[in-house]
Amino acid sequence: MSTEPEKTQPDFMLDVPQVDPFGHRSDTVSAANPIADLSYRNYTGPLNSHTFRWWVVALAGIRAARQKKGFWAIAGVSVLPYLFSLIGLYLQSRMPVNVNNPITNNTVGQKYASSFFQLTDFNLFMMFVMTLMVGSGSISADNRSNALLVYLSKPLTKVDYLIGKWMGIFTTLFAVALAPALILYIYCIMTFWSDGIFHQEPWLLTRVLLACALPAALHASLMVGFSAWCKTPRVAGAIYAGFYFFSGIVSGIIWMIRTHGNMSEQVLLRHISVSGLMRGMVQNVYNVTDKVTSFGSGMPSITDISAPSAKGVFLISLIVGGIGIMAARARIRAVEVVTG
Amino acid sequence: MQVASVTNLTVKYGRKTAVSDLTAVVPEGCVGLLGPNGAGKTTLIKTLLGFVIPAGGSGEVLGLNVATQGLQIRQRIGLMPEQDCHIPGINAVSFVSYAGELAGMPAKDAMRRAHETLEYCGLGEARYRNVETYSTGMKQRIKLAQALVHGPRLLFLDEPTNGLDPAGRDDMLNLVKDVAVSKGINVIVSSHLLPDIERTCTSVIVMRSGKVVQQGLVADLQKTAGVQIEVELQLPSDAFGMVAASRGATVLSNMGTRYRLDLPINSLQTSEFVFGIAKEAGVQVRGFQPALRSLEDIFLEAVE
Repeated sequence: MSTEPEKTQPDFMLDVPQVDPFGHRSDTVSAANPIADLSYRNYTGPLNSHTFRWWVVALAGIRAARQKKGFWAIAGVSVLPYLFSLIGLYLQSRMPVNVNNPITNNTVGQKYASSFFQLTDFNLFMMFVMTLMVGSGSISADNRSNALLVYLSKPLTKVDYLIGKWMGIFTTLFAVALAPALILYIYCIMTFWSDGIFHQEPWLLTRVLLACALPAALHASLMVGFSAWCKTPRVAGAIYAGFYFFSGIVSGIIWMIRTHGNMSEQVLLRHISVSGLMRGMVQNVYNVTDKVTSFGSGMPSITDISAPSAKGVFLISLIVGGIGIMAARARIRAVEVVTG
Repeated sequence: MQVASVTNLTVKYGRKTAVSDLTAVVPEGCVGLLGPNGAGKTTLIKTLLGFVIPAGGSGEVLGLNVATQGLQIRQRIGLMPEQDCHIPGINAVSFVSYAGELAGMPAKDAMRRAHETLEYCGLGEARYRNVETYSTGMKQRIKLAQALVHGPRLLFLDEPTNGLDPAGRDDMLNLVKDVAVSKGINVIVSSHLLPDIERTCTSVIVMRSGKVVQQGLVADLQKTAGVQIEVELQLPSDAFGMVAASRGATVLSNMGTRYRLDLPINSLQTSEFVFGIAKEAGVQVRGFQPALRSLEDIFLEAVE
């Protein structure tokens, strides 16, 4: 019996380069070829446009965040309030129509927005913890390992680098905040369509998107600023955490001194802190009144607190966020320049 | 053909002038940048990379203006910095691949190139380890790999043998030489170690106080004035030196069996002259060759 391999093509075609169904020529040297020359040679392949070079940096930040176990733990905890709310809404939908739910704001245009506001408000703290986890090392770790030299010796401007780092933090925070909110929104649309949810609150999806995006943007802007000025992620995280809580305490004390604890007075002043600004923005986005329990005459009473001035909150947030970004920009440089 | 040049370049950091009125031409091949601390070498490199905007004068790298085309320049060059630098928390393949992507390479190409480059730089299977666990020698290699990954036409190496043991230094210098000779990449090596420059570079630029004080091919700079030779004898002999001096030669140095002589004749008569001295002194000559100045001599002469 002959052991000679069966010829699959006539002899006259053996020297002719063959093209496989994927368009690869048989005479082309490629890494897939087992006898290809894999030694170093100069790169002559394609290059991507410079316009979205920052996305490479952002993607690396997102990838790094995803690899942390803490990220998944916090993301999981962020889902819980939405999950409980979803269960609550489901149970509520099974109740007779005339049963009044004291927690739910049944004002037309605020019924669902109010629920989403409370959930987002609860999750703002989780977003803060997530910011510490994914943002504190974003630039400070690069400072510690001199990685800026690697970045800036490549065709990358420091604006590209900064946008990339900012987007890395923002996208992560935004995605973690948005994912459960979106699931709840879809559930609401599917369950309460017949109740006229879409007609009552047509802008709810836009509000949900903005309510997740604005706090994430403020966190990202501040965190890049703190991270850029620190040499280690721990220090950056500690300073940001200190600033977050300290600003809240200071604004609370000033507000208390000026209003003697009257919740409906000087609402904007009470919101001049990192957490307050975020809460104020979210409340304005959902355009809802906040229900606060007070104990003025010994008996608990629920007071409706309107949102702080939208102009004031957004302007202050813009300024604070801008300062964070400018601080980072001032610190990011490829070389240490000693002046004077 | 030149790869970079600066004309009347002035660089200031605030009120302090780091480089003043510097004019230099960097030819193709492997070029050494020498100079004492504070000579302006690093400032020159930073300016050529487009990191620092010159206060005066002009500069070009690969035909691109350093003041206005920094981004395009950095697309075509690679930098191996002096200090340790890496992206924290990732392994070498991911790091080099990421460096390639930062240079604009598609992710798939960058990953393939990262493997090729790390293999070429001798990191082998260690490329799958986290960079933070690397030894100094490995860190030097990975810095070279990240500088090479996007196929630069010009490579800046700042103290490439910093912190390396003799074997690691030898490997690194072989690698640098191979990059310059076999791969056809122009290389600028900034180093304080003159033997490294002597071994790898074909040209040198010597700087002092922000000025170029010596520049040219190493071979040309090493040539001595007059006819100087190095003679090696079988055994040390005082008589050889005395006879040479009596015949009008100057003994420049004597280390054991090695003599360096400055001869009062033209180079065509060298062998006759040397053997004449040996015969009279009764010694055996093992060999002789034209004497060359060491890079250390050139450097010291230039900066003193």
